[in-house]
Amino acid sequence: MNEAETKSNRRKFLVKIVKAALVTAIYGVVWFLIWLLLSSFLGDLFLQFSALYWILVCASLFFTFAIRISENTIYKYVFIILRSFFLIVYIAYSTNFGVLSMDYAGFTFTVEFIPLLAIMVAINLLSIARGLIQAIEFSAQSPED
Amino acid sequence: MRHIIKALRLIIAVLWIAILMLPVTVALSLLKIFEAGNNVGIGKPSFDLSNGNFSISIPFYMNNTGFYDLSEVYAYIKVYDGDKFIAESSTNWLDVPAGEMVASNLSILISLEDIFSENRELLTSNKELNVSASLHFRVAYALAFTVTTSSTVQWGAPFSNLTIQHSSYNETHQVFSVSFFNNASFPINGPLRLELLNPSNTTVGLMEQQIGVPSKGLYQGLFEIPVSELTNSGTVRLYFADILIREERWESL
Repeated sequence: MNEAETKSNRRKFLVKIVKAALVTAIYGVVWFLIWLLLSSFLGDLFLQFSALYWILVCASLFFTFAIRISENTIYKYVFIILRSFFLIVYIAYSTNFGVLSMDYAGFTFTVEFIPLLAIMVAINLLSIARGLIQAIEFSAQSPED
Repeated sequence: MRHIIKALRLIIAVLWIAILMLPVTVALSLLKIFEAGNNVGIGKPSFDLSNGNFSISIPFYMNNTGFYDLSEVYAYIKVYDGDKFIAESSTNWLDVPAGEMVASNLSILISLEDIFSENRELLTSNKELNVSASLHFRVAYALAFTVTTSSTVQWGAPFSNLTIQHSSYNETHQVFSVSFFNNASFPINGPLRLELLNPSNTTVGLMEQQIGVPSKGLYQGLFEIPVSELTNSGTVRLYFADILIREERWESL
C-alpha cells in the first residue's frame, strides 16, 4: 500500500466519521424534540421515566454512530445484533417485564402488556436473525473482511 | 438469502406497526366507551352476613361501544388492619364483547371463618380498616388495566358490647342471657350457639338459636341450656355459624 492509498483511506474514514456524526446528531435532535414534547405534555408523569428515556437515547445514539461508522464491514452486523440484544434487555427491564404502575390523584393505575412485550422480544429476535443472515451473506460476498 | 432478509424486514416492519397501532386504537376504543358517560354504571352495593359468609353485591352494567372485546372484567378487594392482611376476595369474571351490553351483579363472597379465625377481635371491637379496591379489565385480550384505590373504613363490630351472663339454674338447666349490639352496616342472620363446659373442659350442654339482627339493632336473648351434669362453674363459648366469638369463665351466682 503506497502513501497515496493510505491518504485516500484516511480521507474516506474521516468522511465516514463526519457522516456518522452528522446522522447521529440528527437522531439526537429528534430524540431531544421527542423529550421536549413528552415532558411538556406529560409533565411530572414523564419525569419519573426520564432516566430510562435518556439511557435509551444514549444507547440509540451510540449504536447509530457505531453502525454508520462500521458501514461495509462485518462489524455493522455485529452492532445490529448487539442493538437488538440491548433492546430486548432494555424493553424487559424498563417495562418491569410488561407491568407498569403509576400513582395519580389517589389512584394507582396498572397496565399489563405482557403479550405485547412478548411480540417486541420476538421482533428483536427476528432482527437478530436478520443480522446474522446479513452477516453471513456479507462474509460470503467479501471474505477479505 | 436476500429473499429471506427481505421477508424478515417486512415481517419486522408489520409487527412494529401492529405493536405501535394497538395501544393507540385501544386508547381510542376506551375513549369511545367512557366519553359517553352512561356506558358504564355501578349501582348501590348491598351487604349481607348470613350462614357464615359475608357477601357484597354490586349491580354493574357496561355497554361496550368500543372496537375491542373487554375480558376479565372483575373487582378485587383486599382488607388490612394497619399492615396486617385480613382478607381478599374478587368477583366473578365478566366478558363484554364489542358492541354488546352486559348487566350483572359483581358478587364478592368472603368466608367469615377465614377472616375471623385469625382476627376474632373484629367481631367484637370496632376498628379502622384499610380497604384496597381494584377494578380490572383486559382490552383486545392483550392489554390489561387495573385501577386501584385505597381508603379507610370504619368497621362496626357485629357483636359490639357483647355480654354473656349466667342468670339462673335448676337441676336440669342453666340459663344464660346474651346481649350484643350489631354495630355493623349489615344484618346478621344465622345460628347463634352457646356451649357450656365443666371445669375439666367437657361439654355439658349446648343450645342453638336462629337469630336475625338488623344493622344497628340490639339483640337480647335467653339461652336455657339443658345440662347433662350440674356444675357451678366452667367455661362458656359463644359461636355464630361455627365461628367462635367469645370464650369466658363463668360461675353461678
